[in-house]
Amino acid sequence: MTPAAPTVPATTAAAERPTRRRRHGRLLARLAHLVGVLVLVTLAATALVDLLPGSPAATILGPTATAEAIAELEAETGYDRPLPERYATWLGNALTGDLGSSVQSNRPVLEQILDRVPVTLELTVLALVMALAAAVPAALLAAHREGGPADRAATGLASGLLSVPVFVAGVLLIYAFAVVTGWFPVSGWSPLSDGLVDNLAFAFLPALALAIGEAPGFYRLLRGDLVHTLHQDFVRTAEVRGLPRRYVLLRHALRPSSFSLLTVAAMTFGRLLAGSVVVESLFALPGLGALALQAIPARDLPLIQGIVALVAVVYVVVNMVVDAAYAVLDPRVRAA
Amino acid sequence: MTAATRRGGDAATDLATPVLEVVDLGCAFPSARGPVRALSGVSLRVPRGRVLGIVGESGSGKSTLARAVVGATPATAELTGGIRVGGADLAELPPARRRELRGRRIGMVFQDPMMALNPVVPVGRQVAEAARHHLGLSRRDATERAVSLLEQVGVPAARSRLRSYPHQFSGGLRQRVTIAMALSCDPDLLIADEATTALDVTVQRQILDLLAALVAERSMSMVLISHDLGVVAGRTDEVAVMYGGRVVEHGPTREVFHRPRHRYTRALLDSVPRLDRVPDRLSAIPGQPPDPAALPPGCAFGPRCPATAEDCRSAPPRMVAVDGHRAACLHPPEEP
Repeated sequence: MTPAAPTVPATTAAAERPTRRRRHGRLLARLAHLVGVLVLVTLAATALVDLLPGSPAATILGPTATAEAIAELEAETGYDRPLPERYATWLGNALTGDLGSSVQSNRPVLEQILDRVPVTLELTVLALVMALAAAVPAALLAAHREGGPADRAATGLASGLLSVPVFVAGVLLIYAFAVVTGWFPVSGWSPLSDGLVDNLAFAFLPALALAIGEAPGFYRLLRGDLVHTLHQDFVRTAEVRGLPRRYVLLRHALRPSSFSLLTVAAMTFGRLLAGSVVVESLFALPGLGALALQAIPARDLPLIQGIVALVAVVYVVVNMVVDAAYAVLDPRVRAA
Repeated sequence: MTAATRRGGDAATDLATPVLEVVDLGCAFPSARGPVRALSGVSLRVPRGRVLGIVGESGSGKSTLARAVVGATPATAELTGGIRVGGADLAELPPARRRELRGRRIGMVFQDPMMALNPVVPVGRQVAEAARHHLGLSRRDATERAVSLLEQVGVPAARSRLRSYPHQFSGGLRQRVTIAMALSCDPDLLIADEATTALDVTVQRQILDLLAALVAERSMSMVLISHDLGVVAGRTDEVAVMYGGRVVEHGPTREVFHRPRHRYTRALLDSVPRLDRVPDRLSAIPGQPPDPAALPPGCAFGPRCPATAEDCRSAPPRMVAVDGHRAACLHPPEEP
């Protein structure tokens, strides 16, 4: 935290100027931090070649490859160059939008990633909306009467769901809503461009499986913070003024209780956007998780590096959005 | 707005009915060591347009009394006795009606304005919201009312500060804002519970003068609760002295302060430092305030009283009329 500016009596205009300068300074510091994170993460991804035993070229060419062929491919891909040089090359290309080509398919990495992003993005948004739509009302209901029947039921359910691994939830959902009832397709994907109804039919169950994994955590976090807020003096003053409980919950308690939920939900958004390997495999979805799952065993390093870079960018951007959202939710942050 | 239109000619609020009547009020909290008796047999009435002071040490029950009146005691509190607001017995009302009656007729100002205000809600809305609910004002009317209330309590440039947040105000201004909140529905009674204790001495005085002016302008009644005799002395019509959860002396302020008829009141007055004499040392009351979980069977002040006798130890003394007021002391102090 920056030390407070000396309190010199000043006119409003004069007082605003250092504040704005400080704000700009903070923004620059954030950007520097952001760039630092990206560099470190992509550098680590480039270093994978040195960290993994054996040569990626050997893996790519298979067990029958000759030593000359391996050496030739290493020279061609640049895996024989020292790390700083490899990284400089990768970074230079990446900044011009060239993430290289997949060694498996020879297609540009960027194109392959962009093919998969819509699936994972849609899944992520749907899952997050479903999880919040379940968790927020449940938390409000539970915190309204701490220890009451609704609280005990919801908290018990959340604890139960928290201990269900996502692949179990996914299998059960497929069994109940695809195999037995036939309401939803068992697996696969239909892009949004082929019609919303088909698309949602394919997206619903995997999103629900993800939401079931995230909602209990959201619920517990918000319920805890709400209960804490409801014990605050300003809630008591609101009640002393005869304001209805529902109003107090929604207009006084919810906002100051939502800071940690905001952080966790944003981090979840970033995590899900990196691709959910389990759910995408289970439902045979062409998302980023499935792409990563196919790139890693094949030692498709350009593809892995591209995915890692994307995930890092997503996290950094999400972090910045969370910071901005804090300022919207909490006026004290705005002034600080 | 005149007092008559404000009260709408309601039969229950005619001028002879006290705005607040507390009859034999008791309050106990269950604890591992048995019930903690925070209040016992408290009976008080606040006539229309009068100011009642309540003084006592911390733990004497004065804040519990205020909270019991406005319905802000913790859920575990066991209340006995009756509270009548504007002639209506709260026990006879359904909970929603009770909450509304309290919210409309009684305004409460708490000790720490920072705790009483919601940090993430603009002050304009906090001042206006109770009026919107209880008086059914439109958003615009409620906003106009908030501006007028903030002006009345001396918030400069009130209209431009509606969207400000509590942390943007100084301590004194914050307390003015909470007073505006308390006045939102034109209450008949204002309860100020240590309303100036957390403020600077100069600000304290301004706030007390403001409260006195508001009470006079609006022909409201007020209960002024303080541990500070100096706060209560010049500003109240009547004063009640509390000790160990009971009212031990009650009467016109001048009478009580000039001719105290309870040993505790006497000791309390003696412990006030005076500017016109140079004392050798401050006279403090020996011993500790009573433990509400282990009150003696007789007079609660007995263990610290210089005049305690055998008859003080059997049962708590009853309030009896002496010298134009009432006191619960078997061996009252001599005239000074």
